[in-house]
Amino acid sequence: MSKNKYSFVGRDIERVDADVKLLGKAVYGDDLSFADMLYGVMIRSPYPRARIKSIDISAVEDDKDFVRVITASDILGKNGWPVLDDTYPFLVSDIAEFHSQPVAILVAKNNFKARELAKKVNVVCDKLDFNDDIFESMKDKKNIFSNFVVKKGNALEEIKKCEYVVEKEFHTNYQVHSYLEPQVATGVFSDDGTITVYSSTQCPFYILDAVCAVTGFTANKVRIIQTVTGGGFGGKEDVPALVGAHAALASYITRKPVRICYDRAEDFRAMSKRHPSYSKVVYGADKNGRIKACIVKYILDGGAYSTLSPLVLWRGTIHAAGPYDIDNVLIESYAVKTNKVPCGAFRGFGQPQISFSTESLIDDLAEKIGMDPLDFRLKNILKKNSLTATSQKITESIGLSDLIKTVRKNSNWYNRKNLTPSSPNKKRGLGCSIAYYGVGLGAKGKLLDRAGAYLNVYKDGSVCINIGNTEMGQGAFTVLSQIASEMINCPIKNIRFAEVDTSKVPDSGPTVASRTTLMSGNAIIEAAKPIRKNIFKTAYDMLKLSGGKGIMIASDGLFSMGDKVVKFNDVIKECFNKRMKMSEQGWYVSPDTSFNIENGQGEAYIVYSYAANIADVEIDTETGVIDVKKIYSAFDVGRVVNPSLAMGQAQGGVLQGMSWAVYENLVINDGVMKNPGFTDYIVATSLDMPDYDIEFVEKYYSNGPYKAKGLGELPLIAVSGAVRNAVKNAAGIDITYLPLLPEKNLKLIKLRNNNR
Amino acid sequence: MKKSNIKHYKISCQVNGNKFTGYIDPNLRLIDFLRDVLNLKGTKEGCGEGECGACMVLVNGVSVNSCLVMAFSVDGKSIITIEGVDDIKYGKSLKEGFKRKAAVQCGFCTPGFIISASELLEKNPDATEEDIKKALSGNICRCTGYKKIIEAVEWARKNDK
Amino acid sequence: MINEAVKYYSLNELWKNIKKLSPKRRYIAGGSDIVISHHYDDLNTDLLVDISDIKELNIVKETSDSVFIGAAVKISEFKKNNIIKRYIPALYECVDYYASPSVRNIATLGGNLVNSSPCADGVLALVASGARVVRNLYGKQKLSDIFDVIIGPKKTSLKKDELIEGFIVPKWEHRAVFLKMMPRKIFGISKAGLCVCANLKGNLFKDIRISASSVGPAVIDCKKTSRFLTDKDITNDIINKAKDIISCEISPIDDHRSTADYRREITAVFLQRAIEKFVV
Repeated sequence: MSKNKYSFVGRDIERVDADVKLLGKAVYGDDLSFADMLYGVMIRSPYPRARIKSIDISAVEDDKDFVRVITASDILGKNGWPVLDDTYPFLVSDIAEFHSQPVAILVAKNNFKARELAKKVNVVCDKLDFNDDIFESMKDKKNIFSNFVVKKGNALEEIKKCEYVVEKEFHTNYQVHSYLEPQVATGVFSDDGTITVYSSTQCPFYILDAVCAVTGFTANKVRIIQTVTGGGFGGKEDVPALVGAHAALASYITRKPVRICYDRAEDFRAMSKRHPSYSKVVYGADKNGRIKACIVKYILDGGAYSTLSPLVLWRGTIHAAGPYDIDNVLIESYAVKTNKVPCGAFRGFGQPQISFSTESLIDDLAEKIGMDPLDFRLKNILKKNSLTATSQKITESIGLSDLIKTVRKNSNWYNRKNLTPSSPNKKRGLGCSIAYYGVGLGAKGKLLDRAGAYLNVYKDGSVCINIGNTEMGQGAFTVLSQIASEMINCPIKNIRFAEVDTSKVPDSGPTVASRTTLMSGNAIIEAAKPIRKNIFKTAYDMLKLSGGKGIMIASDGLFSMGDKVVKFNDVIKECFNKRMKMSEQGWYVSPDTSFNIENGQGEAYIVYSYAANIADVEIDTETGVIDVKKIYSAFDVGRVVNPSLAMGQAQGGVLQGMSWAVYENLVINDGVMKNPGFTDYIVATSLDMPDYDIEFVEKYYSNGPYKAKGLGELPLIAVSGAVRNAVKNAAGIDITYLPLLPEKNLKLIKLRNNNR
Repeated sequence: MKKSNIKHYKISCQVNGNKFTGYIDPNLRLIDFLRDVLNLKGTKEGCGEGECGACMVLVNGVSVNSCLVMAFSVDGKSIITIEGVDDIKYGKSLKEGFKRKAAVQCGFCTPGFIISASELLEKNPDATEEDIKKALSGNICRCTGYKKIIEAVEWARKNDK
Repeated sequence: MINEAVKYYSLNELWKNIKKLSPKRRYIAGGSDIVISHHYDDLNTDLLVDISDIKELNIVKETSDSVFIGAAVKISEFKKNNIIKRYIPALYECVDYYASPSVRNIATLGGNLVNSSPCADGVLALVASGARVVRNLYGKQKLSDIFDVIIGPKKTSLKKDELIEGFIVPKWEHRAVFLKMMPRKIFGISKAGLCVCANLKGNLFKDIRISASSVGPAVIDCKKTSRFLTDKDITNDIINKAKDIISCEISPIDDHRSTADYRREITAVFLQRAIEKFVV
């Protein structure tokens, strides 16, 4: 790699929000205080499906701390949450479609009492029949929220001509985001007729839409302010809008600030999840090991309401053939209604499920052909000028083959047969997987794919930046500080990002799809360009005037010419003396793409990031327990703006993927969640952590800010496939489900032993 | 209106070196007392069932999940929260380590990790990586993948003054 | 809702005052179970009696032939206590698998028994160690078998106001193996647990006690398996027979944590592994 010519970009800058978080002084949603604040607790449907008749408050109405109950009839605007469609009511007016669906809001004077009183409110309702099975549901067309097709070439014909064909069905279970900070919002109605909502969220503008809908207010009277957000992973994309709308409504009706803060159990029961999936995949290859055809049927269990399912499904569909160059592809996909908690966005957004299926089956195909699984992939992957499943030509920034070679080398792949298990009852193996990820919202979400920034330089040299995308832990404010600093040659410590406030910055779409560095980064660059011009021109003039000779060098917040140097702050002072404009709006719109939704052909995304993983796994053949010892990964995300932060995000993503693959098992029986909490929903802890060997291979993207693409979701996507393939290589068992629970693994091991 | 007949409970305790004496609602958990009565908001509630560790504080020098302890039961005891960590051994160096090693992401779990780690290093200044992993196994972090947190604790162990 | 809390520091003080308290009173020791119920459900009590700092409940002491462990001693203390390390190795071993480090600083052995959950790690160790329970009601002590106290899942035979003062564990020459199948490497409710305390002479088990958890309505004292293995020369054949016996002695169920088949399988695997640990 060439030497980094930048002062800030590409450097390990410490997080700009580390100090305040380490002091315990960062203000998260439940840390805000307001005078006279009330507390709201949701009253929820006691059954998976029920006709709600009334809310019986007789047991609580005399309590001195009870304020009131708010039901659907109190809604002033429209009782339909606008999230793609508006079928999901803010509060049930007639039929609840899933267990724990919000029916009413109980408002009380203190937090503890609100919870106590809510336990005593009786939802009077008739229990109705419900359906929790996708296949049953699909029999009725009106239960299909959305379906997509990708059709390239003629897969049905070509598959018949293939020398080698593999076909399998796969199932994956839910994943719960398990962000550490539960959902929380505070609505504050003000006598001037405005409402402000403070929310833990990835998407303040979604909340703006929801609050306008539920209250009937116009957007200019509503402000959404993001509080410090304790993790998102997609779980704070759409659903905080529901929480925020409830808090806003309760505040408007009671004329007091109202806090709604979920406890972990209700957060589990009612908030979005990664969709469970079913898929059936067929791959066919010719005698030389070239993949000729791929056929996929992909079904997501959407839960009771559509919410973001169509978008999640679309992303999954586009990527469903895997990052391979295949001439004939047929993908059909469905998102289906069931009477369970609505599923939505989760890191990877419909890709991890189908990646598990395809990466498993690709390995099986390589085995059938008798090829090394890495060689087989190298032969078939997308390369420069390849066409994706949607016939999009990959023209730049593609590091996939380098990534595969990197993990092959790092893992000592060719020596894998010599790896020894830690005890005789265990087997050990390596397995690989690869992935690609379309950065940004893609053709289906392109109307939202724009972002704004406001950059304001003060006369003391300090800088405040407003953006519409959010910091939720991923490090956006640090990375974007680096980009801003680089643009105007300003010391990092001079920059502060204001809390995201919908009244201060234009609608910048959601903070999702690994798009923030790219979109907000470019918006900041746009805003910074004229300011940079002013600063650099002024610095040049100052240096010339003081007798500087030669060219000007700008770095680390200093401008120099020969032996003359001026500091950033002094330059700014001079800019103000010259009455220059030192604040600017930036606006970035993602490049246009052409895509035909009818056949799923065209440019789906503006650019792709890539991943390759190898998992080193041990399985205990007497207990079925899997131990993921090490994961080797390599990622191409374009320029890495902050290597240390990128590494942290990558390690976290890999572990989230591993945790989903081997531990996380949400159980819903008869429509009711059985393990709504961290006691029985198992996420990986420090002791479960595998060793990480992660490397970035930077393939620059010409339209990215400093040639960056996007990172956030990629590290998680294909981990499960690598783990599954490693287990297969270790123990010879054919796993087609997630999570890889020991109960199931052991059955397969016994089956295999019996068949021998 | 139903009248409340709650009898408040008198406690005296030290919190971050400051003495507190007063009457508290017996329904309060330790976390509620810290956050709502003393306004020490650095202690976080992540799960309310002792599984995530975000609410960890030191009571008489040992880590406890403040969501599993009733406030009245800390009568006569000494409590350290994230806000008072600078005054205990390894407190400052842990914070520095977390910053240097990029071990903070969303930050919601961070106070709990620092409390757990401080208890470990105080008891075992020679803690190995395995010891650190074990000591932190009751703290969930969903962002970092733990590696950088472990590196931060190792940094603090080596660099504490 | 709780209206009141009281805290006592000695049994004398407790027995002197308790009868005056609200009839819906309830004890709290560590609180690691009760406080969760208080937050999420309803404790159905209006008064909590904090017994965590009662001095008699916080001691570990030995006599010539037994060890007494107070019911309110925190789990983490077992790891630091030499008497326990020496005479009750099962309890010492179980600490590393018991909940999380901080919960071990809160939870107590008395609470573990009173909660009478089938997955109780502390009870699992106590049963295999041959412990008996010291109950106390209004100052009157009574020694009883653990299974006289536990009468079903979440059910005990304790009378109103009766509390567990502690446990008496006989000193006997033995080693212990504590095995727990958790939902991840460490930290979590067991899918199946097995504790074997035994005294191996040559290749013969002299005294042996086996207990199993999460495979029945309560922790199980596997007497048949223990009896079968007593005085037997350990051969593969004997181990296999013992595995069959223990599989019949337990009665696991399917639930959201695991399956009956798996639990049965793991219990047998654990028995084999435990025996092998003794023999090696």
